[in-house]
Amino acid sequence: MGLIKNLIKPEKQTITALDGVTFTVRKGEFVAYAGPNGAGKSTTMKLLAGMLLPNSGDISVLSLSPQKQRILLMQRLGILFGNRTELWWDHPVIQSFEWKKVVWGISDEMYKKNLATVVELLDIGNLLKTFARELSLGQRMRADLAMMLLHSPEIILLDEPTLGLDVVAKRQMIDFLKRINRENGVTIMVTSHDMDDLEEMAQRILMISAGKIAFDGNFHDLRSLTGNLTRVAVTMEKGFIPEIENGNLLSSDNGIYEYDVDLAQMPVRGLLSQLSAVKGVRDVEIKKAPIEQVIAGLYRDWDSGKNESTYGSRL
Amino acid sequence: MVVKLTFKCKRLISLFAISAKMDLVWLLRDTKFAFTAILADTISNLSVVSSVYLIALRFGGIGGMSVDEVLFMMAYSTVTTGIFILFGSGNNIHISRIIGRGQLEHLFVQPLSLKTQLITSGFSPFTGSGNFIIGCILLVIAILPACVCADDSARGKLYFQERTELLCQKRLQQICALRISPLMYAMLRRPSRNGSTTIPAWGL
Repeated sequence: MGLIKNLIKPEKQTITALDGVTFTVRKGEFVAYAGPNGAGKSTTMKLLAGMLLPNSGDISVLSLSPQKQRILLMQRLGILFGNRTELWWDHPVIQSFEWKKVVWGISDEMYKKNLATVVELLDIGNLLKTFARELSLGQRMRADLAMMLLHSPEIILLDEPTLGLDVVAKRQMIDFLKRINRENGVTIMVTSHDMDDLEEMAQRILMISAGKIAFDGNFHDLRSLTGNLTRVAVTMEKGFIPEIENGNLLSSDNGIYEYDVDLAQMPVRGLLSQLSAVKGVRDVEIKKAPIEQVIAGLYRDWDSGKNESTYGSRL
Repeated sequence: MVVKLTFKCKRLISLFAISAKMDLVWLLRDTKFAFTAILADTISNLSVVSSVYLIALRFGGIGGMSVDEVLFMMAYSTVTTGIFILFGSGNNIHISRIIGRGQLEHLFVQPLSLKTQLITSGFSPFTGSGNFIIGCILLVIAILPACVCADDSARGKLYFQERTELLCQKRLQQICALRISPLMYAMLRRPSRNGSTTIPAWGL
């Protein structure tokens, strides 16, 4: 019965992917775009690149409308999805590059110059003659990134470019992106689930939750949003247990006690004087809470829906 | 206006050219592969056309169509399939699948209109022209003798039949020779961008 019903009257569900999202990115900015799964990150990227049409609202990229002037825009914009490749599967990498040269109408001069640059910076010289299907994930991402840069895009949109990359490949990619942002003034917008990567790359972070912009600012502000959490690790001599007021004990292992301390509630001075009073302290380490943890806290809050409006008004 | 049109034509030609180049490179990447593709296509084409043709020969036509007419119909069908494969291989043949998977939007990444992409991206003169070329040759073979025979018809039906049978035998030999020629590799498993392969769409 279900099958027939589906045929006659398919069940359709309308989902509001983005709702009242407004933001401006200046030229040369490096913006991180983060949010939980299904929040609308990729949808935003696709809208900016003219791949989807919005039901309502205006989008302007490089003073062009992605929906009406897509062809012009695509000459100046580069977009890369980490989960798919634009390389020709059954051809060597260099063949895909040459295809791109023709399709994008890149001049010989620009092509040569850009090819030399990406080959050097991304270290793909020995991959050029390899078939795309034979590349490892990290190599493929580098080749994809190189291909995207061949037409000297002024804006780069990256959707999860570090997906599945190992530490070295990730490092390479982050350094490269920072470099082209700094030296060539390329505007970059990048989404990722790895907050540490984002913090290292971007100056500004836009956070989206359930189709709405939930945070827009720098990483420092993002931290203070959740109450400036600080991680304190105290190494004790045997037989001593530290006691810290307002501290939230996270773990104790082999004499090392880790606490979460909210510096908004207790200033550093207070914390230090407390620690100096404790007996048997061998070592103290104070560091910022990992951004991952901050984000996880935010996501949980958003999920339960209690703070959505509060954060908005605090900005 | 003229400048714009010239520019557009140049662009189209360069797009066709890059598709053709990639097609050639793809075929020539491996001797063994190219040979297998040609052989497989030869066998398949041979069996399709010759089986129908032999039946027509044995019974002097099929369903009221003479042997020449049967040959003509087969040639016609091969040409139309050939045109489709020549221009529509690669991503085009899968367009419904691409749409179904919600991946059509990824074609929008290219600074080309969708129409231009569809016209140019599937152009495969090297791996996809087999059907087209063979179709054309078969058409000529089917039409030419018919024209000659029409002139001779005044000289009697018997002569016509004898002559046709002779021609038919000759033609069969010609077809066999043609099908084994290197141009017969036609599309076998042409790759699309996402790595899947094309299911051969044989004529008839």
